[in-house]
Amino acid sequence: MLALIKRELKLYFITPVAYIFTAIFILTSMSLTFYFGSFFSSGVADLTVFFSFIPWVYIFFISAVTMKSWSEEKRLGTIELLMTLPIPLWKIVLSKFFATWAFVTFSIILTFPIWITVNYLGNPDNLVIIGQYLGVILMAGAYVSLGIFFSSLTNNQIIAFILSILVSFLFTISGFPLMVNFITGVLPIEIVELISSFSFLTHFSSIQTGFFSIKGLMFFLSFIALWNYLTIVKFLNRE
Amino acid sequence: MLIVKDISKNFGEFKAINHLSFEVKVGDVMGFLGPNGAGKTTSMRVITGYLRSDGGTVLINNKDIEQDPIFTKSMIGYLPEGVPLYLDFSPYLYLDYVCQVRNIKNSSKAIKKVISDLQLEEVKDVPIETLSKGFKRRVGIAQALIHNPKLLILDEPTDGLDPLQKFEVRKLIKNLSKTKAIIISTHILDEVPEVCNKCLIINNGEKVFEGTPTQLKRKLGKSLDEKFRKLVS
Repeated sequence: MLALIKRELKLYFITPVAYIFTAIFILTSMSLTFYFGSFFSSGVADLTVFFSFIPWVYIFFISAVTMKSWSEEKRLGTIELLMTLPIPLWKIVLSKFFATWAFVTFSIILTFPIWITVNYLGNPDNLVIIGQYLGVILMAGAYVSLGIFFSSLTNNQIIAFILSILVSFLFTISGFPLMVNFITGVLPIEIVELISSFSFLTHFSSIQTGFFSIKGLMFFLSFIALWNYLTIVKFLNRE
Repeated sequence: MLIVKDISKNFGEFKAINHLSFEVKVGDVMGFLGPNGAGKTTSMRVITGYLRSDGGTVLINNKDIEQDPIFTKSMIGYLPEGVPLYLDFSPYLYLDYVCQVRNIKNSSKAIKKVISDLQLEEVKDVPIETLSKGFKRRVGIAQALIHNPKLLILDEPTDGLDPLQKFEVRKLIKNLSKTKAIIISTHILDEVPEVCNKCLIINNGEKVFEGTPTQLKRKLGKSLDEKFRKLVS
């Protein structure tokens, strides 16, 4: 399994794609923080503003990273080599997930200069920031597992990209105040609560404080398990 | 080595394989023939465990591929149709990866051996993407051979090679056949008497001939092409 993960990561870094992706991720998250988040003028030494933009950047960034995951293997036909290796299917599926998650984590870690900046400018609570970083890394796993599933459905990367954006957007926005207020008028309150309990944002807001709630942790872990399970089922039922 | 018993595979209404049975022993090179769409590739995919059959059993070294997939898959070397490869990798890097996933001890020795057997020295460090069709096919054969499998399944191994390369690959297959069971699918009929000691022709997913190339010659007409046309029309 380790060899499979290593190969996945090598495939990222052997071409400039990984570096371009990482650069775009850092640029986007930083510029959102500085231009729209009024990072400096807020006068508070923490990274809450920076982290609050992360889910929105993930929708595009992680969908772009995961879109070729399986669809490229299908298009090239290399999936046939992969599936005829003497390795259980679940290991093959999980190795793709872990490799992609590791790559996204690598990009997140490279945003550390902003952490240094707040420490230079003030006295932030670094424990909270570490908690927030762990939180967004965990949340990235949820987006990755979802994106990889949609990549397994098609050999067309663009279709995988669009489906993944659409569904991760829905999971992100379903807890957004605007959305919640909108559907509260239309649907009974129990359903509204159910919908927003599936939202990344609802669970992310608990992460935002820097302290993991068990509920948030369980939500993201089961979310990751579910989408990986769906990917495995998808391949078990291949014709 | 390989026993295929009564396998069938349907894609919806379409019967891709219909109750196909055959056997291949160590020392055999079986030519697998049939027109395009006859079910050759599907049969190979079922044997290698890529596709699941709708009926029948496949035994490799007396183990059922459904019950013991990890073991049976480790016995097979497989070159799929169209030679799929990771194009960004170099042959060396790719073979190194195959060694790691297949848990091959002393991988550098194994890589060295297949690289020299398939004459890949001059291209071993350039991206596979930039290689000619012939080289790509040889990289594909190299990855199928690297773990010294007992059963070798090659889907059109000489397709796209020039006459000299074809000769080399056929020679290699002949050499390998002493210790392995080999299936090659091909649509080049002249290849059959040259490398194969067995021959199986299928059409519409059903067996239409099984025997030796000499039997095939004796059974029908004069030229192989003519016989082939008779059998599958």
